[in-house]
Amino acid sequence: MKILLVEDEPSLLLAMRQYLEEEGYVMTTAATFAKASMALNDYDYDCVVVDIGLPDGNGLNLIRQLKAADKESGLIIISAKDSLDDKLTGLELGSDDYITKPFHLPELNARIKSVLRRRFFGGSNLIRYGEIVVDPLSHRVTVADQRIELTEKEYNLLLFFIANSNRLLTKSAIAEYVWGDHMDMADSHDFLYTHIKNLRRKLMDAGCPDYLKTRYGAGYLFTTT
Amino acid sequence: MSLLRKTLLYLMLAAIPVALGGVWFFGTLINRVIRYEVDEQLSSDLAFIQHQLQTARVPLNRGHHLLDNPYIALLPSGHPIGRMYSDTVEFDRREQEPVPVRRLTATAQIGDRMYLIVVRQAMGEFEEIAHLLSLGVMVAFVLLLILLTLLNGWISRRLWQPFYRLIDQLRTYRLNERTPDTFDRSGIDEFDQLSVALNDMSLTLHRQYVGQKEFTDHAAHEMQTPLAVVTTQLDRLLTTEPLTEEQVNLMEQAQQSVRRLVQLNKSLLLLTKIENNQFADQQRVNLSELVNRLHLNFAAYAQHRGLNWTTLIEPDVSRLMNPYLAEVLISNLLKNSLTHALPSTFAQLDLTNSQFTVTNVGPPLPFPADQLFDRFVKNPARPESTGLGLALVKQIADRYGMTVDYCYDERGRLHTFTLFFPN
Repeated sequence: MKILLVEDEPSLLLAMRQYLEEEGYVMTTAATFAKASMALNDYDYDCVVVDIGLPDGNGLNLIRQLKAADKESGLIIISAKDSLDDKLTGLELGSDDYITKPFHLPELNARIKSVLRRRFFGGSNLIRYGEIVVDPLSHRVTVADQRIELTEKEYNLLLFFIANSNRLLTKSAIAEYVWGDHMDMADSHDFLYTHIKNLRRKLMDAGCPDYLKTRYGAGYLFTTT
Repeated sequence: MSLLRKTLLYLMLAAIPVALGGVWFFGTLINRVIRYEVDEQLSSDLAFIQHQLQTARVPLNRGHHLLDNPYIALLPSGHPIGRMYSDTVEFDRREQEPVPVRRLTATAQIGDRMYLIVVRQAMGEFEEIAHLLSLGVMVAFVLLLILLTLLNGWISRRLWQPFYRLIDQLRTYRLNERTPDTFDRSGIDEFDQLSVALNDMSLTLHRQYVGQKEFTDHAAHEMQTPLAVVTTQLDRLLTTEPLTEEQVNLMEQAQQSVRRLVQLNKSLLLLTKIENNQFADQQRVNLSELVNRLHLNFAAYAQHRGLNWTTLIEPDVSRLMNPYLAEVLISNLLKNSLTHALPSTFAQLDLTNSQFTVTNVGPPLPFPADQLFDRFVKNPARPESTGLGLALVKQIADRYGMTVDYCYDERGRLHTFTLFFPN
């Protein structure tokens, strides 16, 4: 999968690039509007991640260019502005997702995976991870052909873990993905623990091996090994 | 009192003394002129009589008074007396009433005889003329006053028309519109100066508003970018091996602090944006649906805290608001109520057409209740809160003319927040 990453902040660009390369994507990066526009012209990408606040142009125009060329790329907007207008304009222009700075890399990773899945498989392909099979269309989760009932939050948690399997995930990163803006509640980590505990119990009750491991007391690792 | 009425009032106040003084002056003047003319007439009559007496062929020693007016009689004493004008009242036979009379008394020496001559002129007719004249002047004056009043009203209304138009334009003036309003010119110098001043002011305000808006946008950008760098670098650091438990714990704590900073930044920016009136677009927000949705969102959290959360939501309660602010307002009140509730107690939520109420059980506030909605006032036992949630609630409520009321019931240890909607 080829991804074009457009971001003007060098350290952010590098961190995102390295993280996504480790996920096995072929990465192209652009730090300016001009370079991004050229890259979009010359090559096809499976997914384009655009920071709309570029020094030499509005990233929204890149989206217009992409849409005008009628390319099949998935599209994720990054914005530092938590402004509803930008979000709506972006989504109206046909972006698949919108993410506000600052964000955690595992979250960006999960969102890219979700966009690629929707774009290229119509969301109909099953996600398999070990004994677990998730149908993203119907939100059905089965373990060894046995259906398990998950709440919406538990389902989101599971997808997040699968997308970031074999990576150390801190409670902060998980909580932000699951709750977003409602995360400033005082004891959100305890709350998160309750959800994780329930998810883990439901998976194990259905006969799934315990993939979810606590690491260093502060994070989780989802892995089959 | 309107400018028009005020002008008329002052006009009246000035006109009445002028009118009274004018009438008095005019009356006196007429009387004097009449008297002067009558006296002149009497004097001329006297001269004529004296002349006739000098050249008279008829000896006048016979018969004392051939005529009553002029009255001519022989003066026995023979001493001359000076001319004397006097006013008397005599009975008029024709009018059957006493009438004022002007009299000139003089003597004339004809040969060795001394005659007394009295010439008289009835003044009644003249006084009537004087009265009529005075009355005429008064009527003319009153008519003039009415005419002036009407004219003044009409002129004022015409003259002040541009002023009222400017007021109407000011009333509909909205700072957040994309292009600032321009105030019309009228061709009257003073109002043109006013509209030029207003245009300048509106332009300056608009520039400042745009500047503020850009500042908040830039501030968000400038703050969020380094925060994003810190977040992603910590994420990267977590992928390096080998890690010790201590390192991971430190990184996790750093991430938590960054999170708090992000929340703080967002809330402060939101407060500034509301103050800058950047959420001007409004629509009918169905509060019932919103509260239901948020209730569903927070239900798991309430359950996690062992709260028995009861709700009473009237259907189809809607208000004209910015949808985003409506969500912040309701969710902040809900979050506040749920996080501060004592575990395993109850919480209550009511929405009616006139108010929104949240209740929870908890210990009394550790600070005075009147500081509750101030910024950065928070429970020392909960340092992780931003202390901005209720400040936002207050700000948004104020914006839409709602009042937020807080009360604490000692016996039941009940904290109740009530949001009253305006009618």
